[in-house]
Amino acid sequence: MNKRIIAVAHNAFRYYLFTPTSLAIIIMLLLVPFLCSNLLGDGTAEGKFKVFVTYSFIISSIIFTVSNISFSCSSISGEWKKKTLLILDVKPIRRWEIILGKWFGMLAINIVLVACFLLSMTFSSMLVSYNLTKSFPGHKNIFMTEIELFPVQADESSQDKFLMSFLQMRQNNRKEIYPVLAKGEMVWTFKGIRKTLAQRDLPGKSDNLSLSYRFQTAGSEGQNVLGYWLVGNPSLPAPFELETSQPKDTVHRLPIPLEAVSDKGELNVVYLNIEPTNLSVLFPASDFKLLYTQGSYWMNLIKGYFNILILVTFIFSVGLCFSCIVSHLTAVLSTSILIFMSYLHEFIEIMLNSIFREIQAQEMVGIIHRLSYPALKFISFILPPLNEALPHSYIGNFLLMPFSYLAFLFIRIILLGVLPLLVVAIIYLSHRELGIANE
Amino acid sequence: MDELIKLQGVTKTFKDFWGKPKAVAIKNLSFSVEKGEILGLLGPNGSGKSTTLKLILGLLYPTRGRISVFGKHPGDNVAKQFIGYLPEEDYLYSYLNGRETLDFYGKIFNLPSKTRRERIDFLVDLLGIKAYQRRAVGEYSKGMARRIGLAQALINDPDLLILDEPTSGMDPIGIKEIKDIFLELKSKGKTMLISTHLLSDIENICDRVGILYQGEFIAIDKVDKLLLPYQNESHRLEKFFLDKVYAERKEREKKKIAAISKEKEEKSSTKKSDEVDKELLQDLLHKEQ
Repeated sequence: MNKRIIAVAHNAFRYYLFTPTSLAIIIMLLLVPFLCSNLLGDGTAEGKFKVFVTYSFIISSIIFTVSNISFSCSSISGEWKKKTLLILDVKPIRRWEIILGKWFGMLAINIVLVACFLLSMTFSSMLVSYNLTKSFPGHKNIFMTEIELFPVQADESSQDKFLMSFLQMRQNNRKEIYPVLAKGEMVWTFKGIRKTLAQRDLPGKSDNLSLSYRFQTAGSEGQNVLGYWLVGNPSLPAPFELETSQPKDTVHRLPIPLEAVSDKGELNVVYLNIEPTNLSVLFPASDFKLLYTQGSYWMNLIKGYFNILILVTFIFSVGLCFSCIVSHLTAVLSTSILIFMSYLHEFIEIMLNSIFREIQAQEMVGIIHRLSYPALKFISFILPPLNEALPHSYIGNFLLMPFSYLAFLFIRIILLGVLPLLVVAIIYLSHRELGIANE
Repeated sequence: MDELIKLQGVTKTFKDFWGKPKAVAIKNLSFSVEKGEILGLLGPNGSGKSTTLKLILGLLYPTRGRISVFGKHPGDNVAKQFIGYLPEEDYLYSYLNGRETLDFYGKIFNLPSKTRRERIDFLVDLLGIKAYQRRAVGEYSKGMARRIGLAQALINDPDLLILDEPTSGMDPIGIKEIKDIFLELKSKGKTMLISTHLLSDIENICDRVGILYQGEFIAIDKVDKLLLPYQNESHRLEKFFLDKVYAERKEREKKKIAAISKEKEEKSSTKKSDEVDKELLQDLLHKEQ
């Protein structure tokens, strides 16, 4: 890398690292996971683990967000105000080199901060694991994570095709629910099961391939519903028959024999709703999935740290971009609003949907509705969904964070968010007169 | 001789947020600085000295006119390699110590580490900051900070030095030492552009002096030539400067008064002609009736 960029990055890194604020942030990041490891949750082992992971990541992400807004918004505008930028600009350094130097300096300080968090989180995880072993003998091993796999296909072979198609239509063409009528059946196909992973002999895990599901039915509360399952693949001479008896609206796990999966990683699951007393049952699609365990909590954590790094990179890039354009205070305000809206991405989506429905439902709607819809749509398009970027939802639910998720984050945030921001900052600052105050 | 700096009809107008002109800092300024020459820019506060320097350094862009430094655009990276700049105040990183400050700017000039070390040792000795080179710059007194500021301007052994009020905030010993350094640099053939309102700073150093008043030169010539009428007097430059500025001020005030009175006269004459028109109209109306 260019020596001048390194010099500016080193200078920025030194400035951020040796301020009392940074030391306070480091102490907080070291303490947060440790303090969260003492939370009890709902009293179960899973609950305690979930609360530990969720709170650690959420609180630390708030610390990361606030500190990065504070660092980045003063990066260029602060130097501009103190006029140190004037001396730097008359030296043989290009303005884009100054911006990139600052950017790398902030990346370096964030690597240090994330490393502190990693250290504390790793230590606290071990502490939580030790406590759980003591308090909950035979609990689920927290160092194992699960891969979730959704069916690629679902076919009903009901006798009442008309009723079935009517139900499908009611669902707005989206398979949010798999309906199985009384005396009906449904076939699901799962593909891409990595059998080698599922077959790994993991200590304390006998159900390392299972079907997780929940169903709704009109029957009375607490009453068990009898169901028959056939699992297998076409290459098998006969499918495995399984019987279940469970109440509605609770998540069940049905252990699947590994032999039922074909060599190509394909599995067919059939639900037979043939018990005469059974009514129609509805399986919510979001809860209908195949799970298999993999001992990679640590891999999940490392991915989580990388995830946090991507997230903070976006935050400080927004701050840096604003600090090239406006004064420190305005940059802080603008960045805070943008980041806050990014965290509320889900909320924007909900608003969008409601406005869209209103526009569709009524012919005469207010001008504000008509104008706010495209504006919100644009905001939702340009903002990376930071609420989704927080890794706790995967780690806290014992799910393996897939590389595709990280790749999506990287593309959405770094390539579509950070790079355009840096280009805007460079183009703008390269044409500004630095001899005038940026107010 | 080579012209290191050349300004041709440069005007700088500061604009407000909406792009409307707010103040004209420099009006149609033309001058050049030749290689090995020392030019002093004199002028009262707000006369446009610092603006001129910032225009030359590429920190401000001219509204009209052309500027070239080392035959290139101001702000050109190649030209910047040979320029040293000391701003009117010491805008340095308060958390770095004196040595680290110089090392940082040395790195910006891509100086190899050995050269950097040698250069820093030399400058620390030259400017007498050896005793406090390891102290954070934020703790420096004004005079000390000024010295470190000058050291950073000299880190690349520049051919062209642009100094904005170099001795402000320094004690008499410091001023003497800095002037000696300037004389040494002059003997080495360095080119300097010094802006100041402290006339004693530049009296014995400059080859040429330009006096700026409200963004315009009211005098620019060789020091000896300008001070010829004051030969037998002490504080010659000061007297010359004050005479020039007062004379210019008087002249401009006279012009202003003349302009105002002319405007008043014009107003009253138009009023009169309006009245005549009204009378004419009334006459015509009477006739028609």
